[in-house]
Amino acid sequence: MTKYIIKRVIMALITLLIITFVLFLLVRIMPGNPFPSERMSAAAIAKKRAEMGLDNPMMVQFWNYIKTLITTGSFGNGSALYNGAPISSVLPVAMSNSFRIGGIAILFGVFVGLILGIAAALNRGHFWDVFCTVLSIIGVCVPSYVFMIFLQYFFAYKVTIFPFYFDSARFLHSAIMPALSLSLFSMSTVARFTRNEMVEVMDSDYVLLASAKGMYGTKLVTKHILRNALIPIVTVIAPLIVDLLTGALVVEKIYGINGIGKLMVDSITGEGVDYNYVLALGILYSALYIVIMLILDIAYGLLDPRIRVSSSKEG
Amino acid sequence: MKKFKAIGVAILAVVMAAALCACGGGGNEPAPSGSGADAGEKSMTYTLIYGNNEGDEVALVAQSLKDQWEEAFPGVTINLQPMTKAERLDKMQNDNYTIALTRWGPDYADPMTYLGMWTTGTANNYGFWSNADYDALIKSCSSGELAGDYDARWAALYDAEKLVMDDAVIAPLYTKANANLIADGVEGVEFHPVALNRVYKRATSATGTLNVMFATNVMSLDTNLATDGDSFEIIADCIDGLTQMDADGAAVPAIAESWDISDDQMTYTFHLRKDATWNNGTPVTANDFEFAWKLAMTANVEYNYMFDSTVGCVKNADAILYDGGDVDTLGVKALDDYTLEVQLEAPVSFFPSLMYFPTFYPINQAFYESVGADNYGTSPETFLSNGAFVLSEYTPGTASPKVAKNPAYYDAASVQLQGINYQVVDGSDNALTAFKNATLDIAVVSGDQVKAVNDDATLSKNLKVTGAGYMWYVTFSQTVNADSNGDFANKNLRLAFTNAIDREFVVDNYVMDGSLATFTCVPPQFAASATTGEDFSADQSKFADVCSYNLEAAQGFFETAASELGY
Repeated sequence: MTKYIIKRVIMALITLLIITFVLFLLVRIMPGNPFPSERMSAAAIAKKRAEMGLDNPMMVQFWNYIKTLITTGSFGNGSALYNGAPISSVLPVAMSNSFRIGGIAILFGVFVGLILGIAAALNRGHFWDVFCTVLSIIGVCVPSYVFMIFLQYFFAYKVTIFPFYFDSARFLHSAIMPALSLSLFSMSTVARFTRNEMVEVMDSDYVLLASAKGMYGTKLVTKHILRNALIPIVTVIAPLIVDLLTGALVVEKIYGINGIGKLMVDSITGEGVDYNYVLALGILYSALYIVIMLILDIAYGLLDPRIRVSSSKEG
Repeated sequence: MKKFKAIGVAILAVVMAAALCACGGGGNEPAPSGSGADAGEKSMTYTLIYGNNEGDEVALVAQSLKDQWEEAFPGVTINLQPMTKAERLDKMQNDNYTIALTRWGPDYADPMTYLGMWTTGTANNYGFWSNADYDALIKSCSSGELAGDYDARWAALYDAEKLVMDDAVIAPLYTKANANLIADGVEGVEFHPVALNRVYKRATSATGTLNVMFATNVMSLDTNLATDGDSFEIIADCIDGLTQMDADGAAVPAIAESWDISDDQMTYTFHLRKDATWNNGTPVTANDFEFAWKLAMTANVEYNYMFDSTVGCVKNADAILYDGGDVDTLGVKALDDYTLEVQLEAPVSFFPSLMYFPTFYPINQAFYESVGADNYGTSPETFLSNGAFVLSEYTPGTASPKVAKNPAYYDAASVQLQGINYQVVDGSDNALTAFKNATLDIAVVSGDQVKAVNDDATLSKNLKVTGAGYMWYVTFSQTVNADSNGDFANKNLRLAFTNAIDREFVVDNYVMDGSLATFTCVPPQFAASATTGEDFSADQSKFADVCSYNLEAAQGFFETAASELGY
């Protein structure tokens, strides 16, 4: 198992390096100027480009970037965004906002989704099943921004329970609506998957055998049904988590949240294209995906020993 | 292991594909119009580029221009090409376009902020127009013999404007307005089309605080680095310059109690008030100005051009900025703690009004050096205020910066507001709802919402249209480049296109927020004569023979152009 994990980690690092290289190249062939200016002379802009090392050959630039990243852990300074402020002064706040709101959305989405899914599966064909199915279909079909505007209209305008915009000084109070809007899709997806997987497992022979042996209730559900149904569900949840942590762009725009989704869009569609921000955020996104997938692989092993054995043999 | 190899191969494949697409991007763009070898079959096909992230109405205006031109000139085809503002600017600055929809906002209250754009070799001269007479006139007005004779200069600026208009270097479209909603009980907020768009020093509100909408994030609170209106607004809330704007936009004493101007109008001696302090207790001194100005000289920043001989004419600024001169030779000197002497290379009629522009604001040297250049202005702890408000909540990128009343402000007695809470609202989609909800006290709504506001008896009373200052215009590349076949080097073709635009129709049907149809290359509302106070562009019909909505004339120009170009 340890050998397997080490191999996975090394592969993950190599993947991240490749992704960084690709991002590094792509961002430089993007249209748009890293030093947007309608007033500076060409000479002044050329000086700025030189200061940022953009005149060096691509491989030298990449090597310097990686070297700085590894030795100092710094993503450098921005160029177009926030007038060249160090990325380290902007990114942590944005990450903290996005991750905290995403975290609430995950907790809510996964918990409520699981509960709804289990309730639906256990009451197949009855009210809870229909309720859960309808809710999931609505949740999957209605884009989160529609739900979000709906929430904002009713709970911030018609009835003023929650503030209209996000305010980091009143975090929990103002984060509830954005988190709810975000969690709708994942909640529905988890509920739908849980129901389907559980129904499949419940029809299998070993569950029939278990109940024939006299097992029933919570023990049957958690030990035999849920555990076997969880593997495919975990596969669905993992990318949802990354999406929730990073993909809250529209929600961040509408609620005025200073998060990484908004930062990513600002760094591309602002006055100019900010190479270092795009890169830093790209690396962050990739790293998140890779880490979550790594955890997922390990989680598989814990949930189902067969996977662990076969994987370690393969590796 | 196999799985990883597969992933690796897949990633590489995606990379190659993406790289190919990106490199091949040029190939997908419309071919240069009429550049084909099949002469005789030439078609007049041109591409109009515009930003898709510069306001809701821009795409509509672009579509309307296309419709109007195609209808006026049979045989002309206009292809619309939306792109981000960054890409649009990139194309314009690298001369890789044919027609572009662009805008310019005044930096200071003088026609030169526009006219300076069309001199030979200036970065904003996107058409690459060149006229020696024009260059000479502009030079004479900014730092030459006319600079000191304010009335003669004003007249010469008219002559310069006429050269641009006669040659149809650009086609002015409209001067943007802001449709503001202002809550009941809010009084005294001053709106300006130039420099500082909203000033709150004399504002009052029923609750004592104001909730104000920002359209974009604050980019920087460093007076040297800031470039956008929202940043300037917070900076001006918190920092006073030598002068400040009064309700009409005139320069009035602020940190400078008074100033003497030498007989040759080239030396300004500012006498600073002695009761002004930074909010860490240190007094505001002349050295704070000298330090800030010299810092701007060395920092390679957007607005340091305002010191050079095209604008502020501060002594030796050109030599320092463009020829590597010693920064200590800059014509600014703290004679003592409370006397600042500024030497100019030429008389500048609007010099006192430049002093309320944030680039000329003071920075406390000791504080700046103690927090470091990278951190300066990135939090309330790393920012110093000497003005009506202090920064109370801010991190770079925040959507809700806040300022609070500064009890140590020298004029604190006349500041009524206890604080201002800003909220960045991305797009005005929900600004109207937030305003109705009293979440916002001051909001800017888009043109299509103005109608809804006007239909609502209560809301319409809250509507106040103010000049936003900037002008939207069309620029034509006069060169042969990767996108253009150079047809627009033909003056008659440019005149034809300019005269075929129904600007009133565009403003009434697509912009809809009170913006003004504009027929002069210096827009109205922002530049008044130093001697008479008259608006430079009050008369919008002065170039009616070369810029108006006149289809007959347009078609006449077009026929001449078509025969000259061999179509």
